[in-house]
Amino acid sequence: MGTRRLQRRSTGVAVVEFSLAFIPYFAMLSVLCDASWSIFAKATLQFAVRSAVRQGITITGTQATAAGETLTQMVKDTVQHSALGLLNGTSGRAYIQVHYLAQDSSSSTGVTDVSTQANGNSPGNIMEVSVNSYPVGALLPRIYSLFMPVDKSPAMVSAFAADRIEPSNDVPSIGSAP
Amino acid sequence: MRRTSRSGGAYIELALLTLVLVPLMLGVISCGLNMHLQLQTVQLARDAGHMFAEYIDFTLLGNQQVLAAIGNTLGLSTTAGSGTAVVILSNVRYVDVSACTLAGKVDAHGNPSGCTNYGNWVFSTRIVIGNSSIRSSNLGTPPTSIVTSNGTIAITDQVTNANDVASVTGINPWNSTTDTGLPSGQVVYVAEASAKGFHMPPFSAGTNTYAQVYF
Repeated sequence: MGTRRLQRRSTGVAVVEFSLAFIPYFAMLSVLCDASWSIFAKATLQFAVRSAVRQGITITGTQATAAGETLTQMVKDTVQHSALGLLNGTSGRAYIQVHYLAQDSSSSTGVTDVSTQANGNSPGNIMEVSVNSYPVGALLPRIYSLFMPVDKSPAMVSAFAADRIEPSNDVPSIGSAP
Repeated sequence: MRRTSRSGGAYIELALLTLVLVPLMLGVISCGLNMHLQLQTVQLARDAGHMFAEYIDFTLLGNQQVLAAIGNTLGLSTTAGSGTAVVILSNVRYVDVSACTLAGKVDAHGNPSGCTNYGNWVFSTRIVIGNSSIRSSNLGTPPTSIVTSNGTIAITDQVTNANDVASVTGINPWNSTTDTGLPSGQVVYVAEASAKGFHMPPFSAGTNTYAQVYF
């Protein structure tokens, strides 16, 4: 009888052991997935802004006219198309900024932001494309302690790329920047 | 008795498995983060090198701030000696007869005379942005005493100062017989970037990342 009782009691042990093992491993897996997701998002945005800069510094007025867009719009389009859907829609586009910087000996830093000027995209100026503070949502809520509120805050990632606008006699319209 | 003694076996197995899996996971994380840092370093060097080759003056704070934005996650700072990354920009040129002539180091027949760096690659510009203690250039380091505030090095130092010789491989000077190589008087733009790697001993020693691009 005593042996049978022991047998009956051990039937749920596997479930209990599985639960105990599952919790820490699931937590570790969650950390790994969350970190990977953030790094992937950062790398994707970095690729997107870099692609947009490479294309943006060579866009001509003829190309912009054919596309029916301004330079800034075309650059932002490229960022969106290269971001694997992360920056889709108006809300996604709002994270993209295109700054134009001119060399200016009268400025204390030697450089002036001319993004709002009509000739801000003159050849020789620097085009800086950025995605600022894009929120990468947590895949799973983070529980650090039973005594702390659950953390669901997104990780903020940013990406920058810059290059000098190539010489051209066919400069496109700058559009609304940044 | 036997059944009672086996009941804790799973915990021991779990503990043994954890000893393997946890370090494995930490190793994967550190390796992945270092690869990500390396990719960012390559892009920083590439962006800096291309703008440098397009005559952007990186001695100006405003242009350095553009680089600092690109290298922000690497810890690039515009303040010399601070931060966890560095960008080293160099111009190198080959000292041929025309370079010696430019410095007046030729004899009456136009042959090099006193042009001690003749036949060597030398630095004509050196600009360092960020924390120079992170890494020194693979090409060498010209003495700070001969580098002017705008990063340039006088032609006389280029052709006579032995400490201005750069260690350059893989580029050939102009060869008039085969019409190949770098044309006389032209410079090569070299950008190097380095950043402190992810540090989590014993899984990641924090080895610095490094990238070098030529334009």
